[in-house]
Amino acid sequence: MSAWLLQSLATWGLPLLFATTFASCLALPVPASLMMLAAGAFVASGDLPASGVCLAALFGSIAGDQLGYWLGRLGQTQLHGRSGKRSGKGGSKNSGTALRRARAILQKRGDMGVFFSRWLFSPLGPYVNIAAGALAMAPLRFTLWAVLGEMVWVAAYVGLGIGFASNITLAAELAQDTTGLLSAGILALGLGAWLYRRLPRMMRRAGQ
Amino acid sequence: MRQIIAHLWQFHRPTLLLFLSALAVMVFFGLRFLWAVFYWSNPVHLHQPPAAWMTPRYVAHSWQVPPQQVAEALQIPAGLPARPTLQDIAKARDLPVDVLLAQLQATLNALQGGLEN
Repeated sequence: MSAWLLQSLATWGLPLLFATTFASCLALPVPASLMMLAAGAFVASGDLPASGVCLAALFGSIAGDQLGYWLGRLGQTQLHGRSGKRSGKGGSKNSGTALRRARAILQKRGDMGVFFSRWLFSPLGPYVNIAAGALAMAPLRFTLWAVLGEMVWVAAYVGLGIGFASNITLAAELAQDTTGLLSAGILALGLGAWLYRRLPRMMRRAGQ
Repeated sequence: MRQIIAHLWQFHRPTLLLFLSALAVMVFFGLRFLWAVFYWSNPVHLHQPPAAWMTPRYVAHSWQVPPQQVAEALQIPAGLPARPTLQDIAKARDLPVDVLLAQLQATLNALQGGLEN
């Protein structure tokens, strides 16, 4: 699949790039970042237009995000209807609490969650879309942060493809290492802060 | 320091282990990054070997040789789409793609030798 997509990029060009980023936002196993790098390389060689490549990748990912969001929203309305029916029997009390708690987290941290799951933690993106829809995040707010995040994603990969056009294997490797380093770093920072706050006061001072 | 680790180990073991794993992953990717920079800074590895998905113009760009010379070496048949890949060209010329890639690689090596002299 991955080899076929790359092989067809020169022939099908922008529509294929659009379809790839669209599919990747729905958690389908397509090599969207590699395709953007290769499209960037084709920009450098003069085979594809720069603006067309950026717009195709951007619109594909925005459309994919919207579809995921509205699917989640649709599913939630149905779920809501069902849990409403069951609430008389007391069966859905716990799930109601969990839902409320998830909604509270989304209210507080949702913007950043949507933004960073576009490019830094991109494997999580499709699930964040569905969750944001299911938890009824405001559509405009979701769209704003999703579009901003996708702009970073597309600019980073297409830009890397153009800049490292003579060797996109190297570009792919550098991109993978950088995102791995950044995401592990953010996780370590968060966990470190959590642990630090749980140290007895005496030890905190001794650690400094 | 030892006291702190002992405390965390006793009361927050799962989080501490997760924290240490995150650090290990950071070290892993950091070393890989450095290795990639080191490996690719070697001029021998600078250019991308020809592959079936590439266009002639991309090969010329990657190897910094004139596009016309790549096009000549490939003997691109008439009537192909606007952006033929090396695969398309091999098919149109009735050649196995591996043979075309090997021929192209030989040409590129020769061209580069010529450009450097």
